[in-house]
Parts: sequence; structure tokens; C-alpha cells
Amino acid sequence: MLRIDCPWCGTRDEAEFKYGGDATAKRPPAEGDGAAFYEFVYDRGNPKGWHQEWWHHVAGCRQWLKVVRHTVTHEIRSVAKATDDVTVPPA
Amino acid sequence: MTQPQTHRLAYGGRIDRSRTLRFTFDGRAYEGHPGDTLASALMASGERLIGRSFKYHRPRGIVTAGPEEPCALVELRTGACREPNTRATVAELYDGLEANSQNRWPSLALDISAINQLVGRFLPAGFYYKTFMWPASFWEKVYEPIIRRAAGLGRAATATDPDEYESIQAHCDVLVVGSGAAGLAAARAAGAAGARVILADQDFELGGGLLLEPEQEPWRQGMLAALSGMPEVRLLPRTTVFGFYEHDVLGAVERVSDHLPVPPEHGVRQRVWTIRARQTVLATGSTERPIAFPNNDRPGVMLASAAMTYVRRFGVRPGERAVIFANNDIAYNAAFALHDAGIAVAAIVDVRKKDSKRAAAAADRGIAVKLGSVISDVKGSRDIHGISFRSVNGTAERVLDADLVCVSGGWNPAVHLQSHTRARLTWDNDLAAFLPGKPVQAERSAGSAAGVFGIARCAADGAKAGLEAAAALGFRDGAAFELPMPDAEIDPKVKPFWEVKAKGKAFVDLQNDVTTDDIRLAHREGYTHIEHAKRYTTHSMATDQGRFSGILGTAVLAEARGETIEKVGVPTFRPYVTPVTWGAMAGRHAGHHLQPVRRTPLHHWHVRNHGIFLETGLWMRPLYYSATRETGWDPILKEARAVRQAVGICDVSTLGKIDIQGRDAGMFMDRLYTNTFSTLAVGKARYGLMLREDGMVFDDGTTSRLSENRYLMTTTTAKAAEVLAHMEFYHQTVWPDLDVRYCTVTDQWAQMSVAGPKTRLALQGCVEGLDLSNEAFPFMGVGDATIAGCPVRIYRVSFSGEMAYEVATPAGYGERVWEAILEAGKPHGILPYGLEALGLLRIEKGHVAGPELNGQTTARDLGFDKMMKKKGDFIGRVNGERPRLMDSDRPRLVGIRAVDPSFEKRLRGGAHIVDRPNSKASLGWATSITRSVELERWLGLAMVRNGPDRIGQRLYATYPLKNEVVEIEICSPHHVDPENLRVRA
Amino acid sequence: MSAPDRLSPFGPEAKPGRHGAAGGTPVLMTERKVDIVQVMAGRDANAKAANLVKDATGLALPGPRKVEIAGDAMAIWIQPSGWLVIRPRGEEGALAKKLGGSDDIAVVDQGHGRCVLRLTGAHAGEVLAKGSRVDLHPRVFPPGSVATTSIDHITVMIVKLDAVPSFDLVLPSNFAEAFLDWLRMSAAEFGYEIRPAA
Repeated sequence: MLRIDCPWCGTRDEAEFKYGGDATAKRPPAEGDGAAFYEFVYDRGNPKGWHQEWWHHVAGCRQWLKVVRHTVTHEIRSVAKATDDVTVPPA
Repeated sequence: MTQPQTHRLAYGGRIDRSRTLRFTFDGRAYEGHPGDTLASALMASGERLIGRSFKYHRPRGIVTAGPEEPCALVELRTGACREPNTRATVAELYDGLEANSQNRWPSLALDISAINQLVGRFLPAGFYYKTFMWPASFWEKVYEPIIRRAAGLGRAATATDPDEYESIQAHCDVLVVGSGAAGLAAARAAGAAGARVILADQDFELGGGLLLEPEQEPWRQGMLAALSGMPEVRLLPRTTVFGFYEHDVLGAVERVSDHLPVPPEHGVRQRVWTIRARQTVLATGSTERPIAFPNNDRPGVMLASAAMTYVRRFGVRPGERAVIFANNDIAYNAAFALHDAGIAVAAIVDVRKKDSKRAAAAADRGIAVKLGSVISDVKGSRDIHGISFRSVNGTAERVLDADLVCVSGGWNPAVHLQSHTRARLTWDNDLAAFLPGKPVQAERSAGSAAGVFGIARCAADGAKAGLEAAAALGFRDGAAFELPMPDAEIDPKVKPFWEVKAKGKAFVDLQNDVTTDDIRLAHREGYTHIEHAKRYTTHSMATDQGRFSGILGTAVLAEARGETIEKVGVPTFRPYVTPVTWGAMAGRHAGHHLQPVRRTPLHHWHVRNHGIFLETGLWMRPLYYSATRETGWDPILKEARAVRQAVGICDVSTLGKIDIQGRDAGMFMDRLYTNTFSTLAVGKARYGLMLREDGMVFDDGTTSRLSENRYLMTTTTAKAAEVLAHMEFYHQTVWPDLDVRYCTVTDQWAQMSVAGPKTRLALQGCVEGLDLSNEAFPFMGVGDATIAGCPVRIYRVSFSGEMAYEVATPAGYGERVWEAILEAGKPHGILPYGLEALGLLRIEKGHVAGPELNGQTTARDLGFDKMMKKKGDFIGRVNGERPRLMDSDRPRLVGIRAVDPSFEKRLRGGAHIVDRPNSKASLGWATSITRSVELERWLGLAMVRNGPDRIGQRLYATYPLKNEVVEIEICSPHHVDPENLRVRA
Repeated sequence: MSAPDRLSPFGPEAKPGRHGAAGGTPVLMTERKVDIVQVMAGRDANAKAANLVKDATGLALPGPRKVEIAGDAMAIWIQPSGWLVIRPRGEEGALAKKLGGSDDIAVVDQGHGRCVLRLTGAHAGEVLAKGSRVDLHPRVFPPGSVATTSIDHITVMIVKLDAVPSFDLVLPSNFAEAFLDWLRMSAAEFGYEIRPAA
């Protein structure tokens, strides 16, 4: 079970959160074309290593958080607010 | 007649001889004492044959004195409380315990399947895979039943478990697993430093190896007294830590009442602990391991440490004349303990050629030591009477009389929990064992779990680990405390020795009947990786998960591969360390407590008024109302007719409701919905459609504008939580600059839909403060009023297609308002209607719901093309217009109705739409079907290719599962009032 | 307007009385009759919201994980720039009306959508630990703390009031009965008493 250190609520169990997928996918601006929106919805890496992903603190402060997690060890390197810039270590 | 305790020593042990406990095994009466396990009590009465092995049904006895027991598995209790595969070696004895042997038929002593022993050479590793491969159809009907009958373990209870289980969520600074000298010292050091400590041990008595050392008893008691006096230290006996998971979370099961005949009133049988430990000290000790030699599975062959435990802890004589077979010095302790208890020790057969100090000590006691020798056979079957031994490399056999063989192949530190963390085990040449590796999580091993042997050294190691764990968290206070007196210097070094190669079956896995030859066969057949050999032979896959003898299989495989044990490794250890019952895992979440029930504010009115309920998600909703609990269509049609002809009232409190405020509220709504809300007039409602970013329809509902910058959104019941999360995602991550705030108000409101041609008349009888006339309050109007003194908000929206008003009131007033409306509607024939009539009415009207909003339909598929605004961004805009989604032959929404104006031939949801009665070329499918009160026939909605172009066509709805074909006409989805005159009336 | 009596969200089974194991110190359960208003401040409007609440109730708005308690009233931090203001029940809708709200401060009446159950007694923390994944130990969760978490799949705000310990549990009203059902099972081993709503 993951323990996620919510910047607002403190360290909480995974059970309070809902996984939200790749946090590096950026929604194209309104004028974006079909290819850009296709990429936003469907194109995902499958990294072995560090992954920046969304977790929604559903049963908590209801904030979407940027979590940097290692896909092999589950180690969590950082948990940030949605608007924070986050660096992801190389795999 | 009660079996006498023929094998109870006259004195000694930790049992309470002043009290006698009665129990039965296979229906025979026995007795024992508090402090006994089922195994020790059976042994005290001279019982040796406890079970039969899995494959060959060989007689098996008690091999260990702990949780790693592979053989002495029994069924405990009876009836609904029957628990199979329980290790007798850890089952705490209580008065009235009923136990039964398992895996034998018809009786333990006469087991017909034991014939498998005679054909054993035909049942090698992989036998099942090879034999039962073909034909596949034989599996289900022929092979599986045979295998199951022959090879079952215990029987699970089939009746509902009457006992209760629960879970508990725990947090601590330092978790100490194991309560031997190392564990107690670690807990005390950490506790004294100020840390919050949990100390868990699977045993019912805390002390681990100390329980075998009477001279250490004062120290043990002193430690327990000190720990009990620390308010932040929690002691958990009878608690097995079964798994070590990511992020320093551990799972444990506490056997709260397993030692009692029945759990106390309001008490549970077992409790699962989820422990978040900032630091963990693994003082899990070590387990002795056997040596493989012919017939090493006979009842009476056991671990040397087990024999010593039965003597020292339980005051039981495991045999009359023992032979010790060992490759290390520690095993001599067992020989001496047996000797000191008056049990004859015929010889110590020591693999090592060199004399050791211990051999001299044995000689002092008059015990013969056969150096450089091995046991090459065990004589006897259900009861043994002797052994053959020979020199390590020799062939000349000699024989010794013995009824007890005590084996020690060295010690394996209990590294399982550490292994769960993905720490890499390291090999220790001196101990010929795997030790804990470099920690990955916040843990450290101490005592013999870390390869440290000797009570005093273990205690010192534990104290150090406890101090370090506490210090790592900043707890640095703490007082020193006394450590146990050093015991005699003991050399834990072993001479690696795994197998005696001689004629006869030598087992490496006693429960699954895997022999050394099976491992070699697996190797010959290409299963050379330890994980493959494990699965091919089922070695290490029994309830002990290889804890008892997994290393033997590795050693045999290593020799076959010509490589070191270190290189070959052991199979990955995974949770659970020991079996955990399903009851404990389920905890409170059983039966109707599986998930919480969500009730509307009108729930108890529905209960009192004969609502027949349906679970929809977590909600309980009335399907229809019937005092006689009749089934079928009649009550549903009656409710629906009331709405079409007079007036009905339905609880729609389950709809999701979200309050949205802020300067950018309108812009946010425009981006969430395909249609525009920023232009909606204040005091008006509008139907809205939401897409997912992939262009598929996500949700729909009516949203009202309460003031310039405040909207109230309604969502479908099913998607309420998802819509809020969706809004939060887009607002927080994509458009954080939008100045908008919102929250769910679903629970705040009781909401009821009042619908039917006489609705206005009915409501005018109870609504105060709002002119309900069509002119003053037209379709899609929103206004505030009161009913029966309660504040209400009224929305003029319709799901049924009739004139309708939705009335919302703060939840606590729901019943009062509902009843006031019923009272006012009485002269007009008002009836409450449930979910079924609600569905019937919306299908007639052609409103989409769950079956149509199935995540695979676009706005265009559902006929909502015009709701896709041309200007401005909204979610799903771009992907919703992908070329293939514009294909004309995509299934699109239409109405269907039976040509036959009766109810003779029924339409069903899921039926395929075809153009000829027997065609197998599907043109689409029926999504929602109902009997119609308006058109008096079956009708519904369907997704049909080119659907809108087919309106007027005669096609067929086919349901091959029931051989039904019904002629249908394709029509507009709006079976009722397509001009929307009624809703505007 | 003066509101008529309302139905308790805890349902008809929540009758006052002593249940579960006899003897020992029972856990006391009391439904609190309160008004609840959710306040959400826009960007740069936290101070303005604080003034608004202070003027209307005398309560300061607390920071993350904290509760401001003054007598029977309290303000609970629930999310960034979001609070619940709770005080003894008065006229229907009056608290929300008094707070008012503006374009940058949303005020939402939750007096019926949320409910508060007070749990007090020496074993109250142990009872909650059967479901709460949040550490309620006084070292990390002293009086004046709040945590929103999930108990038995129900989102619950746990407010620590004192060292007894006493807690105010803020629940979604639709789940109040289900939560009480769970609570009663969990408290049975210690014994519990349902008190009249107050």
C-alpha cells in the first residue's frame, strides 16, 4: 500500500486517493488540432522507472497532486500541488 | 474413554498442570493443560500419526513446534466454524476443542489412497501436467474431480461463519516483530527512548527462544513487566505479522479468540492489523532445517529443536529412545535436553568428521557420537523403530533401535518479511544460510534473524537495533537495562550437508510430497531455474511456503546444476508468511456490510409505504410500491399510468447536485458542457450534455442559473462523484486561472419529481409564495417557495415527458414536503412512483440514460449534434469530431416498437436488430425496452446503424438465447409527445 | 423563517440507550444539532473570508489540518481556501444568509447535507482506529486537529476536541445511518450509549 505525502493533509494511505494517470500529458490549447488532442488523450509512455502521475485526494482535500513514483519499487520521490513545476529524475 | 497422558514428563515445562483441558481428535477424547498446543497435547498422549500427506497419503506426524509445520495440519472446530489446514503446532489448546485429521479416507489409520505410495514411481513431478493434458474437455468432468477427491487438503466450512472479524489501523514509531531475547530488548530500548512501539509475536506466550531456557525466566519476566509499564508500548501476542508491503506498511493477524471455545459476546475471533511503522525491527528468529534422507518423513522424525521444545516448554516426551542427526553444534543442546529429561539418546550421528568440544560434552553424559556418519534409512512406517546409519562416504550400514529421530541441518534466519520488501538476501558461508540483505525500507534485522546466535548476544543485538531504530526517528532518551547472563559459548557454524543419497524416498517438501528425485527430474526436463523447479514440482508451495525445507530443494537443484546454492537462490518469498483466514481478510465487510448503504432523505417513508428496493450503486432506491409485494408489471404500469393520466411523485434525491460560484462560473460551464450556459437567463434551467475528452458522452442533466455568478448543476445518479472529480481535474490542472468555486450539495437536498397532467393542480394546493401558472412559471423556470412551512426550490423540468415540477427541500424536511404534496395531490389521484415507472416513462419519452450513455456513444450518435456549440473550447470538442465518428453507419439512437399492438411477443434489452428474421448480421441492438402505457405495446430505444435514415422501416429484434424474433418498426426515439407540448402545458 | 422540526439523518433506529458490552466506560454518541455552512474563498480572498467569518461568528479561519473552536462553534479547515463553519442550530438558513458571500467568496448551506456526531469516552480513539487510517495519537493529532479521511468507504471529517478523547465527526447525511451502523459494531466490545441529540 502506498503512503502519499499530501502537501495539504500530510501522509495518507493510498486508499484515500484515486489514480489519475500520466501528469506530463498537457491538454492542448483550444485551437489545438486533432493530432494534438489525440496525443493528449491516448499517447502514453510506459516507463520503467520514475513516473510523474496524478493522484486525486478524493477522500481528503480533493486536490489533484503531482506524484513522482518509481514504477518498479513504488518509491515516491515527491508529491506536489497541481500547479507546481516538478522535476522527474532520469530512470 | 479419555486417552491417558502417557508421554507427559513428571515435571517441567510451562504448562499449568493444576488445570486439565479436555479435547477430542477424530472423535477420541484427550486431555492436556493450559499452555499446551494441540500438537503437544496429542504428543503427551503418545499420538504420532496426525495426518496423511498430500500426494502419496503417507503417514505423517509432528515435525516442528512452530508455524512452519508442514505435516500436522488439522481441521479445528466443526460445522460453520470449521477451519481447515490449521497447524496443530500453533493451535492453542482450550477446553472443548474438537479437531479432526484431514486428507485421509476413510480413517487416519486406514487410508485407501495410500495405495498411491505403491504406484509412487508413476507419480513423479509434473505428473498431472503430463498425464491430464489431453483432451481438454476431460479436465472439468474427469480429471479434476478425481484429483480433487484424492488430493484435497482440509475442507472449508460451507455454512456462514457465525463469528465476527474486524480490522484495525495502527501507527507506530517502531514495530518489533518477534518477542525472543532480541525482540524484547529491541522493544524495551525503543520504548525507553520514547518511541511508540508495537511488539507482535505469533505465539500466545511472549519470549520466543527464552521459553526454552528456565534460567532466563526472571529476565524475560522483568522485560515483560518493564514493557507493560510503558504507556506507549503495545504488546500483541497471538499476532502473526504476515506481510511487509511498500512504504513501510505491514499486515498482521491477531488471533483474538481462537484460544477460546467461542469468542466472548461483542468480541471478534480474529483481527487484521494494518501497521504503518516508521521503523521496523525484524527479530523473527530462525528456524531449524531438516536433512533429506530416505524416509525422513516418518512420524517420529522431527527437528531437533522441536524435540527440545516439547521437552522443555511442554513437559512432553516425544519418544523413548532418540537418535540425533546433525551437522552442527547447536543440535547437541537438544540431545542434552532429551537426556536430562530422562529420554535415552542412542547416538548422535554427526556428519562432521572432526571432533568438537560438544562431542566431549556428549561423552560426559554417556551419549555415543558417530562422527562422519549419516542416517541412511528409517525403519517402520506409522511408527518408527530404528534407523540405519553409515559413514558419509561408506556403504556398510549399521542399525540402531530408536523411536525418535531428531534432525538438524542448521538454521535458517527467518528472512521472509525482509524478502517481501525486495531486499536481496545475502549468503553466509559459515551458517550455510541466507541472511537479510541491505535494507530497502526502514527496517533492520536483529538476533538470530540476522544470523546472531546465543541468548545474550541476541539480546544485545536487539537492544542495539531498538536504540538505532528509535534514534533514526530522533528518540534518544532512554535508560540502559540489564541483558541476560551470557550462555555457554556456542559455535553456530555448520558443515553444509543437505541430502543422504540412498535407496528410498527422501523428501524436500513434506506437505506437497516433493522428493530429491523430483527436483532432479525437474532439472533434467529443463526446469533449471529455481522458480520454474518450484512450480513444476510444487516444492515450497505448501502452507509453509518453503519455510521448513525450501533450502533443501535449492541445494539439490544447485548440485544438479553444478552451481552454488547462493547462485541458485531460493524462490521469492511473498506474503503471506503463514496462512490467513478469509474471514479475517474480509473483516466487517461481509454480507450486507460489504459496502455502506446510501439512503435518501425519504428512505424511511419508502420503507413504511411498501417500497420494494433495489441497490443502485450504494443507493437503495424504491423500484415500485406494493403492500402485497406482488411482482411483475402490474404495480409498475399502475404507477406509470398515474403519471400519464393524473399525477405521480418520485424520489429523485439521488441525482448529483453541484453548487458552482464565481466570476468565471459561466465560462467553466461552457467548457464542461457541449452547449452554452453563459447565456442562460438567471432563474432558468437548461439541459446540458457533457463529453469526455475522447469525445464520448460522459453525463447529462439540467443545470440552473441561480444568480449572475451561481449555477446549480445536476448530474446523473451514477456519475455524480465522477463529474465532481472531472471538474476538479480540469479546474485544478488545466484551467487553474478560472475564478470559480464549487462543491457537492447532493446530500443537502431532498428532491422529488412531481409529474403528470394534474401536477399544477396538485402543487397549487400546497405551494406558497410562487405563481405556478404557465405564464408566470414556464417550462425550464426555477423559483423559490414554501410547502408546509418548509423552504423549497422548484424547477420546472421533466424527465417523464409530462408537465412536471421538481421540488427540492433541505433534506431534513424531505418527508414533510413529500407528504404535503401527496395530501394536496390526493383529490387528483396522485401516486408515488418508483424507479421502474421512472424508466418506463423516460423510454417512452425517448430520454437517454445509462444504457445509452454507455461510454461508447457520441453526441451525434444520440442525436445531440445540435448541442455541439460551434464556437469556443469545451471538453471533447476536438476528439468528438474525428472522421470515423462521423461515419454514417455508426449505430445511432432510434426508437423501436413492436408492430404487434399487444404484449404477446416481448422485446428485450440487448436484442439484436436484423433485417430478416434469421439473419445473423446485426444492425445494432436494443438498449432500453419497456411495456408502454401510452401505446400499449412493447417499445424502446435502440442503437442502429444508419438509424435515423431507417425511420419507418420494418425490421426484426432477435434474441437467439431465447429463440425470440419480434417484428419491429424503427421510429423516432420520442414515442410520446415528440412536439413537447405536454411539458410546456 | 422559523423552520419546522427536521428528521435526523441517523434514522429511526438511533434511539437513546446503552448497548454492547456492559461494564467499563461506554463510548458516548450524540448527534449535534448544528448549522453548517461551507465557505470557499477565491484567489487572494482568504483574508476577506476570514474577516467575513470573524464578523459573523467570532471565529478565526484556521490553516490546514486545524480547527478553530470557540465554545459550541467551530471553523474547520477542509481544503485549500475551504472551511466549514459550524455552530448550534438557529433559524433555518440564517447562518448562510448572515455570511452572505460574494463573487469571490462562495457560501453554501450544508446544514442538511452534513451532520455531526460527537463521540466521547476513553475508548473513542480505539473505536475510530477500526476504520480510520489516520493516526489519531495525541502526539500527532492533538485537540484542535482535523483530518478528512475515509471510514468504511464513507468520507468523514474527524475533529479532535479534547484529550478524553472526544471527537466531532462530520458526515455526509446520506451515509449517516450507514456510518452509525459501522460505529455501533466497532464500539460494541467497549459498550456504547446513544444520547439524545443536543
